[in-house]
Amino acid sequence: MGFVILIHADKCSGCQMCEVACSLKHMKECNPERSRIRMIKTEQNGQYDFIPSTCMQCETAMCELVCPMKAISQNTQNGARMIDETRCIGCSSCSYACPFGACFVDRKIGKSIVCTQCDGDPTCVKVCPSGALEYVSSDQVNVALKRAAAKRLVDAAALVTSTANPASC
Amino acid sequence: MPLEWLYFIDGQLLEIVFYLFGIGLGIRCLAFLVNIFKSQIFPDQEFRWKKAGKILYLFAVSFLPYHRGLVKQPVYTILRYIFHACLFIIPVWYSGHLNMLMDTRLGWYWEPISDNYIETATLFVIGMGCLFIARRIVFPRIRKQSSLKDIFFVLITILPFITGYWYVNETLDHISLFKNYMWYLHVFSGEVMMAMAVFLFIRTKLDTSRCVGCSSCTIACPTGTLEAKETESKRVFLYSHYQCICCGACVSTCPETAAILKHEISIPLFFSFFRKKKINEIKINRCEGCREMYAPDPQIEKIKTILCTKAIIPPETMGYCSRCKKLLSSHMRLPDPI
Repeated sequence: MGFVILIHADKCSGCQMCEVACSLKHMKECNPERSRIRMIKTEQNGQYDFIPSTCMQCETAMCELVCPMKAISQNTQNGARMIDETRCIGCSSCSYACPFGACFVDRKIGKSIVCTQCDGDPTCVKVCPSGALEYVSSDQVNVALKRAAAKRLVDAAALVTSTANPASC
Repeated sequence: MPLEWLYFIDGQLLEIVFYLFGIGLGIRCLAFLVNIFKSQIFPDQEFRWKKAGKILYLFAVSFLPYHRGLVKQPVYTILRYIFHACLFIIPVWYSGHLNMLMDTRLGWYWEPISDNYIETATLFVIGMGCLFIARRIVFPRIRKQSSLKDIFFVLITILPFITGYWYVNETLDHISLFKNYMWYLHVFSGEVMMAMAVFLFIRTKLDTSRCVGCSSCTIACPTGTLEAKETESKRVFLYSHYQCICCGACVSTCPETAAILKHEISIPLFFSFFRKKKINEIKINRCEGCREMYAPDPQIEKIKTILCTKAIIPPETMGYCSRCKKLLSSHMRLPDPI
């Protein structure tokens, strides 16, 4: 019974509030480089795309398997990954193994940090102004995506009927 | 043996060695303090008193070598402490030495420790010395890392104690050669040991066959002695023996048990006060997407091996840096060049 932060990349406006809020809450410092959720910006044909990226809470977590100190474990309540700071030595093995680049060694404290979903109440989800982040239970992920896709279809249909013009096909 | 040599050994040579010992150790303390002061471990905003307090703490704790190793090897570490403490306590508080000290022009004297305790401590030192030598010969992993030099300096250290014990208890006096010369043997072996102590360093060494280049040791080092610098596809590990407090943090942190603390006698090392020496070099892979330096090659190989043993195929994104991985996984596209 786990929860994930579901990302709707098409809604992300690139404001980086998630990065600010996350770094402020955990590292007591407004510094996007020390945030556990990152907003990646890409450009294609003159159009910018913004994608938030964070820990995907994998079932077979590679970070957990390669840690030489067995410092990474799963929170039993919400299924989020946890890193034991007293055991972590900052070797970056988890960072190299993670396929999403979600886990990284913070330069200031010399230990690895990862999204822990803020004990069941993620701050980034609360501050996101465009609703690109949603906190859902993992068995509801598919439902949430289908709901969003259905809404897009409904909106597109409404747009077509409101500008209905037999000549504009 | 000509008489002038004997008079020299327990006369002028003794004075020369004491000066060498005092000045040598003074220079080492000074070099240590200067290096710590210059190191980058203190944030600039800290108050001077806090900085001075930290330096004093590090200086004091350098007399307890390998204290971070207490958790992993408690018995060996404690025995080493008692051994080193006795090395200092026995000559300074022995009644025979104090009687002689009182007769010199310094005229110093303090209350000695009773002879029984001194004798027990001396036997302990000799026994521990033999145990340390035996440990280097018996255990195969330690034998691989040891050389004759390591056994040699332990022998030099316990020889004054052996000869002193034999002299006081007249153990070998039935042999006339020893009866006449045991005193000079004792004094000379003590002089050799004191001269050696000035040039004896404990240094961190990285086993190049085991080190994967993760640089956890550089993160754990409290004095900034062990550093990792990245230049042109290589990570270079630098170490400065004068900044090291021999706490053993690097040794107990290393996940590959590649870091060890070793004794080394070297006169050139004594005179290199500020230069850092390179103790290992690791190849760094470049990210396949953005060509920035990314991860040490041996560490990536080790991660791949671990995943393969758990029957997991290593992800194709392993060769990319964190930034490229984020984009590849969510958008199937590489980021723009920086």
